[in-house]
Amino acid sequence: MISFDDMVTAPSTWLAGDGPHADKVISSRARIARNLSGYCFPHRAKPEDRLRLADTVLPVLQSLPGLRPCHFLRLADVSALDLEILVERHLADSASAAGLVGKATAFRRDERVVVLINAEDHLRISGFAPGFDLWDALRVAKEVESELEYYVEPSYSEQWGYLTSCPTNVGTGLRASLLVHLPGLVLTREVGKVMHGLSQIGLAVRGFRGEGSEVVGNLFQVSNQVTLGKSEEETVETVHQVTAQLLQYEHQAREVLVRDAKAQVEDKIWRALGLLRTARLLTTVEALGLASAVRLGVDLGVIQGVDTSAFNEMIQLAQPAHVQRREGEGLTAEERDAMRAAYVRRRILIE
Amino acid sequence: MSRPCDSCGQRPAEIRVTEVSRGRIEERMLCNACAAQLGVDASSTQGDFSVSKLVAGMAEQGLSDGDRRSEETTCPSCGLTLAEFRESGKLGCPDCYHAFIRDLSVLIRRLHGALRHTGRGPGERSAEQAIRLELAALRNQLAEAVAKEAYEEAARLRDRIRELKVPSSDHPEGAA
Repeated sequence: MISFDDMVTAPSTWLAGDGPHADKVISSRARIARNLSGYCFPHRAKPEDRLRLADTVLPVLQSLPGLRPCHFLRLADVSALDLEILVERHLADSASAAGLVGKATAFRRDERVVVLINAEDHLRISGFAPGFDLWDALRVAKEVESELEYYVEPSYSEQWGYLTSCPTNVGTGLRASLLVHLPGLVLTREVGKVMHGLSQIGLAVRGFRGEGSEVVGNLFQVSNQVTLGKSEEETVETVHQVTAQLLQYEHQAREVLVRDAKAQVEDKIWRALGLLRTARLLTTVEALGLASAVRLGVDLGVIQGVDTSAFNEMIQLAQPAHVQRREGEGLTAEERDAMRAAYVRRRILIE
Repeated sequence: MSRPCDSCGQRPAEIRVTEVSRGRIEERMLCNACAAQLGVDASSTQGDFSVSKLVAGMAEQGLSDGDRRSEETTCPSCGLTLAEFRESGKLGCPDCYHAFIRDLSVLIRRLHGALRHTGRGPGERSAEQAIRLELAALRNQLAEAVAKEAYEEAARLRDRIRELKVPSSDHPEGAA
C-alpha cells in the first residue's frame, strides 16, 4: 500500500541532485503519448468507456517488469489533497474532481517511470532521470512502452505515426524535456532573448510551473515542440544539443556576473541564505527563489557547507500540498507559509 | 542609436533578434519590417508558448479560408464536427485523423513542418536507438559500481561502454 505520509518526506529519486551536469540541469524527462484503437480520446469518451479502458489497461500494467515494484491508483479513490501531491510529483495530471472517472496512475516506486491513464491521451508514459541525461529518461519510458506493445495495440497510421488527441503530439508522441536552473541568464537579463531564440527553432521554454509565464526559482523547462517528421533519436539529440549550448550561455552569464557584479551577486546570495535561515513566513515561490540564489552561491563557490540537494528537494517538498500533508490538513495559507518556513530553516541549517 | 538594420541596411534597426541555428546563437539588429518577415512580432517582447492557443488560433485563421460547408464535416466514428475541433483544438478519436484530413494537413504542416511520420512504428526497433539506450543503462550501472567501489565491475562496464560507442558519434557530452 502506498503511504502518502512517507511520500511527502522525501523527493522523487530523480531529484537526487546527481547525474550529468547536475549543477545546471535538475532532471530529464521523456514523455510518450499513446492511444488505443477502438476508443474515443479521454476528453470525449463516456465515463463508462474511460472505465472500460482503465479496466483493460491496469492489469496489463501490473504485469510489466519495467514498472515493478509499482503503485497503482485510481484517482477517484484518492483524496483531493493526495491528488495534489501526485500532481506536484508529476504522478498525475491536474484534474478537476468531476472528470476523475477512469483516470488512474501507475508508477514505479522509485518514481523513475509513470504511466498516466486517461489523461490527455489514453496512456502517457513518462521516464525521468536525474541531471542531464535524456537518453536514460527515454530508456526507462521505452522499456515500459515496448513491453506494453505486446498487449495493447496503439492507434497508428503510416502517414501520421502514433495518433494523439491533440495534433501537436502526433508522430512519435515524444516530448523530451529538461528542467534547467538558469539564475545567471535571469540575473543578466538575457533569458528572454534566449527563450525567444529557442522558440524560433521549434523548442519550447516554459517557466517551471508549466503553462504560465511565472518563473519560479529560476527554473525552466526546455522541450521539443515538433513530434512529426523526426525520429525519437533526432528529437532527443536536438533537445540535448541545444540545451548543451544553453548551458554554455548560462556558464558565460555566471562568469560575467562574477566579473562585473561580484559584490552585488555575493550580497544577493548571502541575503538569500540569511532569509532562508531566519524567515518565519515563506511562500513556495519565495522559498524557491531564495533557494535558487543559495544554490547559485554554492555553484560559484561563494558559500560552502550548504547541502546542494536542499534546493532540488524543495522543488517538491516546499509545494503547498506536500507542506499541508506533513503538517496536518486544514491549514490556512498563512499557517502553511509558517510551516514551510520552519521546514526550510531545519533543512538549510544542516551543514 | 541610428544603427542601420543588419538585413536591409537602410531602415534604422529597432529590434534585436536572436536566432539559434545548428546550435549557434546569432544576434542581429533589425528594423521592424525585416523582423516581421522573419516572423518576429515587434509588439510582443516574448513569444507565447501556449500550444493549445496556437492550435486554436491556427484553426481560426488558416482553416476558415476553406469551404464554409466543411464545418459540417463529421467524424463517422465519434461524431465530432470540424467546427468543434476548430473550437477546442482536440480530436475526438483516432479516426478523426481520416475524417478531417484536409484541414489537419494544413494545421499539421504548420505545427510540425512535415506531413509524414519518419520515426519507427509499433514493433519496430531502431539499431541506433537500441545502442543508445543500452549505453544509458550501462552508464547508470557504472556510476553505481563506482559509488559502491566495485572497481572490477566498473572496469568491465567501462570496457563494454567503449565497445558499444555509437559509430557516428558527434554526441557532445554537454557544456563545460
